[in-house]
Amino acid sequence: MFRTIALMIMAVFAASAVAAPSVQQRTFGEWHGDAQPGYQNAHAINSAGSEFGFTCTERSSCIYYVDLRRDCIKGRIYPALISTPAGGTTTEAFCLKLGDRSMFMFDHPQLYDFLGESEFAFGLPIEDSQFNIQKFSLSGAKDAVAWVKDQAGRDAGSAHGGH
Amino acid sequence: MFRLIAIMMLAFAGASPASAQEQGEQWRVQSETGHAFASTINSAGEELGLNCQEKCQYMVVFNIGCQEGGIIPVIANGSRADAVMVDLTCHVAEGSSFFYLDDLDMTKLMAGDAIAFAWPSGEQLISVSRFSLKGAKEATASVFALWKKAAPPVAPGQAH
Repeated sequence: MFRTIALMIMAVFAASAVAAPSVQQRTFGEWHGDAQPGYQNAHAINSAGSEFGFTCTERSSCIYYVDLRRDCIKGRIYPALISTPAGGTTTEAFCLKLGDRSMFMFDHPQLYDFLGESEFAFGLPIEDSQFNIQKFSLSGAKDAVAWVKDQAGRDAGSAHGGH
Repeated sequence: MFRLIAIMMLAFAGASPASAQEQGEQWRVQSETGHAFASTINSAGEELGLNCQEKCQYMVVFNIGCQEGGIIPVIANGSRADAVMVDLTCHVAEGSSFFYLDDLDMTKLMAGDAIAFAWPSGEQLISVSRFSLKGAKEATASVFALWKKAAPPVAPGQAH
């Protein structure tokens, strides 16, 4: 499943690089949203320049991702720890290479509920028994993700002749 | 303080160790009849150990309060092994909480210079507990040897 969505996401991010005239942008707290036909995304960038976001494809397949500004092995699945003040869990993150970017795509049934918390941390095991831990503000995250889902639904509806 | 040693010695033996020895720079080994134990304490006061009595089990103490049977999701990362996800179950004995590491391949994870565990920790979001493995190979080998002298021959690499 990861691979299928990753391929879709790859196309989506590539498409987003070309500014479309119908792009919509919204700000939700610390989160920024972009939506245009075939591309819906919301994300927050932390002080280290790492990015935590949520994006949907034109088929309304949506997934969370982090860009830790560090390399990963394309196609490899990494164990990861995700956490908020209310709790955390382990998950698997799929490495997607997109030009110079290395992104870790992931999802978890609890994740949407986590977005209502104040902060989110993503912990990735790295070499020499160390962990790369990045923290992100969740201010506005839940509204931003809901907006992205809504935009993706509208996009899918219009793509299939709906409304 | 070596909390795991205290827990194990009191819980299983009910007495102070009959013999003790130091091995490695950061690992301590203790033994008595049919029971051997080695552990190390990190700078945060957390402890990682190997306890052999009826069977051999790796154990860890984090700076976390938990209730008997509580589960925490953890990622274990060794310097010479792929990181793995595992759910650890809290045990409480002698007023201290600890976790058995039965579901981890500790032979692989203990092969490098250090091992670390990351776990969700409330307001801190993620805590990392890191342990030096300097001297661990000698210490755990000593434990296995001491325990084998008085215990049935169960493969020690299999922690249960």
